[in-house]
Amino acid sequence: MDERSRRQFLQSGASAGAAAGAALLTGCASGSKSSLGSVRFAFIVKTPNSDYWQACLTGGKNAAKQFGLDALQFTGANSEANIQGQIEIVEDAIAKHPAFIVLAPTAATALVPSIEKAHNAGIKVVIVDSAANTNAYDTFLATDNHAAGMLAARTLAEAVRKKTGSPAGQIAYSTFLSGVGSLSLRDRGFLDALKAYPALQLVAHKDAGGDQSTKPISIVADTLTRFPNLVGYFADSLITLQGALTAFRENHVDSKKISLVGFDPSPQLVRALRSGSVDGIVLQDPYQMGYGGVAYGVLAAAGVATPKNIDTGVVAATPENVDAPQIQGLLNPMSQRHMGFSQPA
Amino acid sequence: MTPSIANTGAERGAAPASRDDRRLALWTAMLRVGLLGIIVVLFIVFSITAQGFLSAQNIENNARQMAVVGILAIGETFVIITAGIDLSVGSLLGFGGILAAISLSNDLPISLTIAFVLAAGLAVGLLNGALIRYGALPPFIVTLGMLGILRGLTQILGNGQQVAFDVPRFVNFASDSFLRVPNLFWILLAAGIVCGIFLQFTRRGRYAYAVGSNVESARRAGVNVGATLLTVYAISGVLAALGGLLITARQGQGDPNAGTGYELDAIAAAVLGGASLFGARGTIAGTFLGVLLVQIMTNGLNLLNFDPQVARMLEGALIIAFVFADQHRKRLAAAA
Repeated sequence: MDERSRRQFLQSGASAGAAAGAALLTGCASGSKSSLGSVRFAFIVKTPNSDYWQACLTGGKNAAKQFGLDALQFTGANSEANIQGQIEIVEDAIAKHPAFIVLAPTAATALVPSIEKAHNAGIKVVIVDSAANTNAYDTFLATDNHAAGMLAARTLAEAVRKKTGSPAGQIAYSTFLSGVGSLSLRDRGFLDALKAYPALQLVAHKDAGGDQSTKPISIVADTLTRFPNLVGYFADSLITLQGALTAFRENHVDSKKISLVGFDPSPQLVRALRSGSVDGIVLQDPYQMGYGGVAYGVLAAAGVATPKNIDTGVVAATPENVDAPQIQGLLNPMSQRHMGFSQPA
Repeated sequence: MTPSIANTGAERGAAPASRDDRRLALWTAMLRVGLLGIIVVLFIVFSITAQGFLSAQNIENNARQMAVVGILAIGETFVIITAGIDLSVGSLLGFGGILAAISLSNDLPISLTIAFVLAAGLAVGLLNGALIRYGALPPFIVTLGMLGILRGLTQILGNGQQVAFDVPRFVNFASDSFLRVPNLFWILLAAGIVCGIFLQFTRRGRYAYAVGSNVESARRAGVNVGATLLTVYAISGVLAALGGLLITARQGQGDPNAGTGYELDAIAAAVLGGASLFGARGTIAGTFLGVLLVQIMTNGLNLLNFDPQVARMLEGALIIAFVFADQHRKRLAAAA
């Protein structure tokens, strides 16, 4: 199935399912037309403070509007490193006993007790974006991060090949925060796919320790100092990719010699992609996770057996394909052109 | 080691000053030599062991990377000298940074953006100072409250997202150099020299030490305590806003999380540089060395491929060790 038809399949599945769920719920509530409005749910991301999570929240909000659901909250902690903050938000949501919770867990293990508590209380749990080490959930919608990491490695190898003639030389990568499920999977996928390029030699791996300000810059600057012959750099998240771009700019890196590939877009990164100072941005589909998260939550709450795992897909944006409609749709998730839905009033 | 040193604020307030002041100066100098000694040793060790440490590019990187925290730490030093603390500088940096990004994205000229952001920092600093002096509130509480207010406001202003703008001249300033020295470092140097002269050679600057030594004696001696406190918090506020401008230029976008935790880095640098949280002690030169020590340590360990967290642990251990040595010598002196 190609990307577009997979996407359409997913959408029609989610929409039809939601409609079916709506019908079921309506039936339960003895024909009253507004009964979906009584389906209360909580939508909790890691933090609302990034374009990525805003896209996810927008997907969830649009689904809620279109299905006429009653959202308790669309929220998250103050940073992607604030595990305790997210646990508190989830506990508060459980206390209100919604029909379902859509959750993007900040940490794979720390959120497990809360997820199991919700599940045991009869609340349906839809996990999005990052895995949790438990089986106590109904559906998991996410990027297949291992596959995404592999795509990043192939994109980087291809960029290096274009610049130097062969995918060979020293490369390095940075992680935003060790122990985050989605990032570890990306990193592992990246390393696994690298095995196909034995001449690409990994010389350094740096951890930004969850710092969102300047450490993502300084770790890359120091790596450039230590390894002046670097031919490629991989950053496994938006923050580390932006940090790498800043370090490249400050160190006057010649973008004809070093390739930079990473995850998740921002306006600055897309500009850099067009100018060639970034060679690839792996795009996920957070809008789809948000929209589908709510749709599958409705289904699960209606008693429909929902699929355990759903891959929302990834694509690599490059300077060559950045203007293709599919890439543009993912780069501007708020425009929702790629969703095929009309903007809710 | 110098015997019989009595330099707590109260004792100096009470005793005739000249002898003790000389010893105090000696003391400060000794601590600074200790700090400088560690920096020199680290510099030599890293020069030998860490590949690329002495390269022009690396020195430039260090100079650029220490600038923003250094600027915050200078402002923090003023406040700490008055026996106060300013926990709001990290949030104010984020606030100034997002204001700058929003202004630029709305096509405000760079000069007006700078004036606007610095004025905002001045206003916040004056508000901090006024609440502390005229509201008779502890600095810790006022600036802790301001930390929360400003971070929340910053998130709301930025709509919880990074704020993009496209003003290459503003962004390039942060990555460019003048005479092979990064522009960011020139700003740090200028701020340090101006503030150092103000602190050491002007009456208002000396008043900061008097207020930090003993508010009541300072007031009786004719020091305008209110004006002094307003001044130091205003300086801290303006410098934090300046840091915000620079970090936004450096990152090429406004980041509502920028500067989170920087207040502690600034306080740590000032304390490493010999400033006392009990007041009346601290210098800009010492703080500069404190920032430099942390920067060199972080950079060197990074080049040696240590986990970046190791540098944080060492920084924490050094702070405790420095203050312990300081207190220990004081106790020895008191016993003699």
